[in-house]
Amino acid sequence: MVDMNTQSNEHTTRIGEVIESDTNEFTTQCYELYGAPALGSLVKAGELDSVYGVVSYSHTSGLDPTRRPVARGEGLASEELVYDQNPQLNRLLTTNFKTTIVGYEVATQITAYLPPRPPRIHSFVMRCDKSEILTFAKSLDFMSSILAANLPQSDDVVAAFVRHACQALPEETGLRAESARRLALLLGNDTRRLEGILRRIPND
Amino acid sequence: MALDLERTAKQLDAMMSGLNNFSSAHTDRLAEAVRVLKEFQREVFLKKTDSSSAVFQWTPPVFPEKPSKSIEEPSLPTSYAVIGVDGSHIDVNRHIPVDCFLINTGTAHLRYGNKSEAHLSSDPRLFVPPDETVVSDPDNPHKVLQIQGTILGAIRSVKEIETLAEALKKSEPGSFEDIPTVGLVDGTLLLLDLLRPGIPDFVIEAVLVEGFISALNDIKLAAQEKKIVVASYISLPGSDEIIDGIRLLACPYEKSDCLYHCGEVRKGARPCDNSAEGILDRDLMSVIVKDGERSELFSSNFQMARNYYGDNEITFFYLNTGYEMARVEMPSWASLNQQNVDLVHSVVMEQCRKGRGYPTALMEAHEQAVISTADRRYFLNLVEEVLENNGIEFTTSQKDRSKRLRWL
Amino acid sequence: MTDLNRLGLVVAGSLGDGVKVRLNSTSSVEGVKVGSNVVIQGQESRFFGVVTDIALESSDPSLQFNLPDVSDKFIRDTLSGTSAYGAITVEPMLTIGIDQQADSTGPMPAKTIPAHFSEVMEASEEDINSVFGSEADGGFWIGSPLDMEAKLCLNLDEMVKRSNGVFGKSGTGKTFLTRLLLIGILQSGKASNLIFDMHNEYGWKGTSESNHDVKGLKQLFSSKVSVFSMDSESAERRGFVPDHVVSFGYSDIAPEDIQLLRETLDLTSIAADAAYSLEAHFGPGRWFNSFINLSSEATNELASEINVNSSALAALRRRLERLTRFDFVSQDRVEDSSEMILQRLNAGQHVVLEFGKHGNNPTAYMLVANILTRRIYNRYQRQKELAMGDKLAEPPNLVITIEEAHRFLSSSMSGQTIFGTIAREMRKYNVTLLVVDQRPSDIDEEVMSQIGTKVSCLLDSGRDIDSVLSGVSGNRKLRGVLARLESRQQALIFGHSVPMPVVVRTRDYGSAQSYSDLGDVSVSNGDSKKALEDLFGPS
Repeated sequence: MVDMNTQSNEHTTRIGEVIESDTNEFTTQCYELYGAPALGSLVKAGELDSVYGVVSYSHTSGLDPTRRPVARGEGLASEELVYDQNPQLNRLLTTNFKTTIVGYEVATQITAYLPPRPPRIHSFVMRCDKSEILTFAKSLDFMSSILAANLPQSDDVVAAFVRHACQALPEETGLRAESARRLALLLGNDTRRLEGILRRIPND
Repeated sequence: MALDLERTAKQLDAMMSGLNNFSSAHTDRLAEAVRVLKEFQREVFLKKTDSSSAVFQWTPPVFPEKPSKSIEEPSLPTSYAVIGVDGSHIDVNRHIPVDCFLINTGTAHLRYGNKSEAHLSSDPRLFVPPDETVVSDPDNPHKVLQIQGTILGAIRSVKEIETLAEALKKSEPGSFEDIPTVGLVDGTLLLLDLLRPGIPDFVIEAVLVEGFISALNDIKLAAQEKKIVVASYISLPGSDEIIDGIRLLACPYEKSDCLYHCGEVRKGARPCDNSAEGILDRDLMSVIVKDGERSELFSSNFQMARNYYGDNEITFFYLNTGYEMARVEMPSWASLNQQNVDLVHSVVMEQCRKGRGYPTALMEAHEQAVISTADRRYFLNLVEEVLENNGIEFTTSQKDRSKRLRWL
Repeated sequence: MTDLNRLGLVVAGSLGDGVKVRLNSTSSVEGVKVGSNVVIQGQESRFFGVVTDIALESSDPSLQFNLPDVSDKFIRDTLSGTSAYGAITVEPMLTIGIDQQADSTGPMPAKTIPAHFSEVMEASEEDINSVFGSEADGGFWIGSPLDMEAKLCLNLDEMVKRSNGVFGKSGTGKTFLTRLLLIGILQSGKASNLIFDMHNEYGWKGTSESNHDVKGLKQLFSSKVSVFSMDSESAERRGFVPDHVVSFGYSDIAPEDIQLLRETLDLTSIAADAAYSLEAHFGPGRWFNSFINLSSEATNELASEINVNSSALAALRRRLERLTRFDFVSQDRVEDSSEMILQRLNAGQHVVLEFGKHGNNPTAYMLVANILTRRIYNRYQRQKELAMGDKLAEPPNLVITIEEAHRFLSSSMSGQTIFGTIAREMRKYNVTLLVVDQRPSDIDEEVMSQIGTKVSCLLDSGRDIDSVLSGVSGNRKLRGVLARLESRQQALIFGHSVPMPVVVRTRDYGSAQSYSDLGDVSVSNGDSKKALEDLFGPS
């Protein structure tokens, strides 16, 4: 029986599954509605020889493309009540997110460039731990591929990654400055763009 | 472009002018019908029914005491659930060598209140030859009826009600899940198609009795221990059962012997026509029942149905959802308890609000059940593949082939 | 090799234009000075060079038009050294082998440039010592490279082989530098010094910029230095007794002296040339005496006799009368001053001739210097020729220090003065010059080309800078260095005594520490006089 119910996840770090996959990016469908990790987060797909990606886009819409959501909350006291009073929404809406592939693991070694093949469909997608974030925060080479993609959100993604890395690794005190300088080298000929990104990495 | 729209439009125009002539007479008749209903007296009606039972050519339902009453919308319980079930099918395709068909039932189980939740699912069921694609006479195994067309439709209804029964039975009595639950299906609970002349008895037995009624009985049994109730929702109901009763009341003759009195009279000129011809139940109820309110309960009185349904006898009321006048049916064992009827009333009203004119649970069930064109094509391709893998050559009629391929 | 301040990497450049270095993000442009020394670690050699230019560059060409928000420290810090960075130009001067210890040939002039991405570092004290030598190797500590404490040494052996020059605008420290060089020569014992001290700076004592007294050569090395004076009163006033007061007779004045004095005496060339005719007529040594006392008529007669323009001759006689008014010039020669000086020099002494009040009179200075030098040079010539290759019989090396050298060595003069001859003949007769001058552009080009080591303080005239740097390889880049020297205590040294042009901060002179470093052997004035009397008898 095809059941739209999902089993509650035993693994708290498991976010969803890969539903589309190509050389540069993979798309994950979240188990939970609105369960996408924040823009710029580092995630990995696949339990063995994981492929790493930075969240670069997320999207919530109806499962059925022919059915569009309609406003339901007029007269309701809060937004929560919209979902409360229409519980089928949790089943009929789905959140997906795309990640730009930034590296992969082979024999417990993480390498920060594109893997030979993208992850398989239905690979489990999980959040990453501190040491993994540190590996990518230190190299930052992958930034150039995100910047080169020139999506409207590319700059925000890069800035968000640095913000998250700094938050996740408070003991790495020089990380913000170091990352900024790497970005300056990558964007040497476009100070305007660099400035825009630097503004998105506040000091906290 | 295969349809000549210009020629079709002209014919539509002609139809419209015919309709316009029609409307003023309709208004008068409706007013008359309303009057008759409002002046209803039970004893009069019962007497008339008795005296005319054999000769009145229509079958009026059992009327309530005050048929022109409009009942206020009751309040909803804090926590309740609705289970909507709908079905869809891929009919037997005579252009392919195998007589299989597919019924897909969709279920939407929606729970409201202190822990709102939804479960949406669908259950596809493939019926394969030789046994599943026919109804056979248990006394005479060679007597079979191919399942297709109307019979298939009826079997689908059976599957729907069986699925609903399963869903309603699922929760434990007294448990967290045991909250007032309304099971809804779309369309009438009266499978009159099966009761038409020409349908063999064994078919009625197999489909109606052992399928449909049996499932209703299952629900009835479960309802003894849990707060569950079953109903069906009919949108844009086309029935005129109550009008049949109006006819009876409007008939001037003491014994309404239609053949005798009006056998030679043209339709429309008969005395009862003044308050009935061209009027539907929903037209009548639109005047009577206010927004959000329901009519009193009526009870269907078809002879054939009585034979088979027993205390699953179908009662119905009309509900003004605010969007339309809908007909809601319940088995009599359920509607005996006014609380049940109130529950159905309030739940269906709320469902129609959420669903903007149609109960959400049925809409979602429909979405789960529906088989898109692409799905149908895929199904056929799948069948083709399976057959070929098993060495059976898939020869199809050229008509089907051209429908599927649609080349330029 | 300690981990020094790494400045950056070589990214571009050429042998002709210098090597372009991109500064590290951690090195600030403001921390690098033009003229400072750097070391470049090439693939096959270490290069030693000097910073000749400093620039600001950006990887974003639009940066200067679209300024980012630099009020935000984060943005500013990020951009500094990445998108906006400093670049310095380095002139590679020398190569030293990769492994310093193994290198035996020493630094060689650079004939190539370092490879891309070679690392550039500030030069260390070890580097300075290995390039310039140390005091232990016999070098003379003249000062320190910019922003370093290392002792930078001159190769005195090389220095005394040729004539040398000290140049710079007035007030830039030429005197201090000259004094140091003289002390170096003195200490090394490789030559004797004869100093024509125009402003009384070198003998007993001098004055610093801040008008403090500083010790002169006599005070530091009393037994080795004799101070002669042209003006005993002035000496007395300044608190010491000169070892001898110099005077001349008419017979000491020669026509060459008149040539030299042509401008200061305002003589036409005809008039000046007439001195030769006079000498021919009256005979050497006698012509002045005979001529000076003639009457006007006699002068005219003489004019037609020797076939010289009579008004020119008359003018000559009038000018020459000025000379007789000097109190150190008397009709009869009292002594042979040049002989006295020679004696001292032969005894290994160094002689400072102070001019007292006469130092302000160019005529006096030039006349005295010319007379004495002529005679001494002649004696040196003869002595050397007599020695015929026997080194021990040769006269000791002599360094003659003249100030305002452009008066003696201008294009018009250098052919005619003894100084020009000395400069051209190099050390043929063991005599070299140490010229001190603030107008090097007035010195004859050929003479300048003979100068072995040039020590140049700040010059601001383009022509002066050109003349000092002419013939020096890489002079285009050194122009920038020279023009940016500080106005005091900084000099650019280049030539034979240093392996490469180098900017130095002159060592201290005037503090007790500096005196003791220089080997102060001063005792009281009285004792030194006695020591001299022991040597030469009473003066």
